Amino acid sequence: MQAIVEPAPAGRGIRILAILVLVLFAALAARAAILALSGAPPAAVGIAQPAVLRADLVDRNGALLATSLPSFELYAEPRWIKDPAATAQALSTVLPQLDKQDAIARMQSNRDAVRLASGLTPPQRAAVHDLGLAGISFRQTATRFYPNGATAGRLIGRLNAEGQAISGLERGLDSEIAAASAAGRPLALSIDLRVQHAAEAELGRALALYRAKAGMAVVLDARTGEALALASVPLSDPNASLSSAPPVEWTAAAAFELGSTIKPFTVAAALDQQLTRLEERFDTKAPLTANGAVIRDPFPAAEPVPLAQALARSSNVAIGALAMRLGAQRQKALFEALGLAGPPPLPIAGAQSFVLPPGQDDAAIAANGYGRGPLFTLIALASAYTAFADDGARVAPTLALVKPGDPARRLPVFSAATAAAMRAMLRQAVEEGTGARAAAPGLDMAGKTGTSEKLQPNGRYDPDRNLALFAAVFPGYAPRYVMIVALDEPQRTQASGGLATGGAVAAPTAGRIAARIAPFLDLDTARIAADLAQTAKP
Amino acid sequence: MTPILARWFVPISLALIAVLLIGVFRVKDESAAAARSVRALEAEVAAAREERAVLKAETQYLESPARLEALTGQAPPNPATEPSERPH
Repeated sequence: MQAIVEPAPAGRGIRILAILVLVLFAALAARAAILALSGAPPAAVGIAQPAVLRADLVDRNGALLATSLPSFELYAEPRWIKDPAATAQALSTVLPQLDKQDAIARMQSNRDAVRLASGLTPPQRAAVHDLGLAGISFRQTATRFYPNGATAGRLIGRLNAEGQAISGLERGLDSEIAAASAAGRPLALSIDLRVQHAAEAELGRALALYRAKAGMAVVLDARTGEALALASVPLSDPNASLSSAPPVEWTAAAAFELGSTIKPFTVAAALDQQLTRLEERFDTKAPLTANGAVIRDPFPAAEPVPLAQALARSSNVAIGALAMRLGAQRQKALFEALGLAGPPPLPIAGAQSFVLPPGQDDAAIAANGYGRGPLFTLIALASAYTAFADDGARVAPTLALVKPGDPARRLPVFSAATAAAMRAMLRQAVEEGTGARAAAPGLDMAGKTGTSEKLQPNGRYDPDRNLALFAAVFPGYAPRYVMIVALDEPQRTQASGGLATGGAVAAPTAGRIAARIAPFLDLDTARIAADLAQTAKP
Repeated sequence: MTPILARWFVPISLALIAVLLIGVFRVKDESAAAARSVRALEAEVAAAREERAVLKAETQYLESPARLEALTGQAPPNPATEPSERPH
């Protein structure tokens, strides 16, 4: 019998199907093998971003001024805590500052979660974690820390307990700091921490020497307008807790009558507009009458003196006369061009200056001309003095770091010739005038003193209470920096030679600050060293 | 279907499935290990960042000019820090 072998009716189709399945398996196996051997991850792994901390503030050299450190808040969930007293006891072994009774009371509340402590450092968190307590958890936050303590504390400002900026640059630069945080970089300021500290330390010494109530100093780079120091003492430590309103930086936040430090502007404007000449002589014995008011010099010169000497002697008679020649309109324009009017263009609390009223009489114009009447900030005065440092243009103050090569915004005020003449006069005021005690080795200090008596409630000036000032441009041979020093209500002490004037207290303080910060500045160090060696010789 | 193909179809298929399973298992295992090491590195980086921030703050505190001056013993008494009061 012959077996009939018949091919399956669908044999060809099954064969093709089988081959297709084999090919498919082979492809899948090959793909699996490639994936297994290549070592590349099959998909991108999601990377968790760490919480963004508030950006650091650094000075012009990168020194840290403010930083954010990770810290933790400690929470308890009462429903998981069987024995609040034992939990509080255990916590207090690693957190000695914990108020146990308060913690127990909180843990007995019927809320979902209660905060027991904040500001825990990472090691403290680890220690609490190691206790293995039930119902205890943490939340990461940040603590703002100011590593230099009180140094520049008023200027930098602070955050409140909720982490919101409430004062100083923390507040004024809040959006810039947020942008820096997002970019993961620190925010650099124009301030030089070393200069800032030197100014504060010397102001502190001056407060003790002259028993003054407060001291203020501004150091400005006259080329760029960068503030290297804005200092006010008594200091304020932003790390310390606050019971009252946050302290402010007085060099911007307070406006004063600036007395004789205003006089050089009146002289310069009169020279610039050809209302006087360097050769003109002024009789300082003859009183000046203006609208019935009589202006006299307390210590007149025996003979009529030339313009430079009139300024060096700080003659109210001579400067008042020049102010009257200028007149109200040109005087107002002068103060505006100098940037004295209006609040300082800085991101910190600024005082409104006193705006000169229209239609002032001659007596007021004369008084304005020698610094009585209008109120200005010290930072504005510093910016105004930059007009004497170079070609007669001034630069606006800034707290932002100016990159080398960035053009400074120069605002023309006087002619270059007038600026040069004023520098010589300001140098003379230190060499032989009221500013003699500001001398600093190798710096050829040029500047003007001011003694601004305070107004009493009866409208008279109080000869016993003043703001003693010194405004300096240095070094005299190549002016590069402007410094303003002010001491509030200095007393007549032995250290001041029994006087409480700008020349007796503010000028020597300015000289000491200048000598101390000179090594940190862009100066001719060889010249300073030579001068020091010269003075050291017997 | 040819006899050879019929005889080897099942073993070859099983072998391929085995290779496939082993391959996929290894891939998954390696990717899990990679993810674990990424998380560990991230934690390490975060911890190092925190440590660096604390150390930088510590360094600046130690180098702060007022502190250095006090250490020289020549410093005048630091002006008392007082709450705000306008100097008038």
